[in-house]
Amino acid sequence: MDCEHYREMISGLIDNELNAEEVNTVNQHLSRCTECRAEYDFLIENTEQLNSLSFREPQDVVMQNFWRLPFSRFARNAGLVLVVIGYLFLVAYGFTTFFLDPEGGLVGKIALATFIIGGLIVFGIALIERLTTYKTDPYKEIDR
Amino acid sequence: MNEASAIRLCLASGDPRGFEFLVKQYGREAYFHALGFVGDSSTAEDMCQESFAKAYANIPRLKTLGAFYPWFYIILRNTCFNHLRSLKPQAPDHGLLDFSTDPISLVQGGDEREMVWETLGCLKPEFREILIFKHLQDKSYADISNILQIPRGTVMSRLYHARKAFRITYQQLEENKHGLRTLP
Repeated sequence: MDCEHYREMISGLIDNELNAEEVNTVNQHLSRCTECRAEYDFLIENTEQLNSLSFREPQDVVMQNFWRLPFSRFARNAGLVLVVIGYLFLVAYGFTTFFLDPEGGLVGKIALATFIIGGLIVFGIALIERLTTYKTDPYKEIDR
Repeated sequence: MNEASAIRLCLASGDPRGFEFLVKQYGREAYFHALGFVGDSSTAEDMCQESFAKAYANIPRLKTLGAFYPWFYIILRNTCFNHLRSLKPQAPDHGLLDFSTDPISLVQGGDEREMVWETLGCLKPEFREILIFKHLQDKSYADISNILQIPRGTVMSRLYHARKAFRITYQQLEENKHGLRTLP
């Protein structure tokens, strides 16, 4: 076994996860290898640093919300989908029956054009942000 | 009611009481896992709500009665990562750390704990995940292996590499902070 493999086992030793035979093997190596001994000391130090952390206990109301709110979340998402569908229908309707009409009022056409351009800007910005973050995304490998 | 009977209740009649039992059973654990990933309590709550809703909708796909949490954990993990991928990298919120257990360290060790937390926030997700399992949740290798569905040897190996990455990142952050402090 090389030192790298022993070092992985040293991690197990510190966590009390090795059996008696493995403990013996690692201890024998530690008595011979000064570099692994130094690694052992570093790992002990890191373990103590990490063990110093603890999270605050959440309040009961937080726990209750986990199950109470899924339905309102579903309603919100459904509402968002309906708004988007409604927007697309309105744009399509306005464009085909009103915008292309040569006798339609100028103010109405400007209002409709503003409505469409505003929607395109929002969609474009969201798309650009998504593409920008994708380049530096550390979670690319994770399945959606 | 136990876990298997709760799942049976959900599967048989879609009875939400069965799922409510599961939420009560695993809500706290899920919250801490989400908190470890997203580093923000309000987002962690959102992640848990979304994940439990997804789990409820997909519970017919759960293959083994009595093995809810490992299955749910994959949903929670993917939900958190989907959220994180839309954000720019940032250090977690220090306000979530519990300094109350040792008042002395609030003065003497507070800075170091903040640095430790900040370092965790800079690590690769799989390293941060396993360090949180081990050090913030005190899970055994067998538990981690069961939840992440990886062999026990991989748990040991990943923990070693995570601790090594932690040390290197911690030193870099310390050097950066020291450099900033000594600027004129």
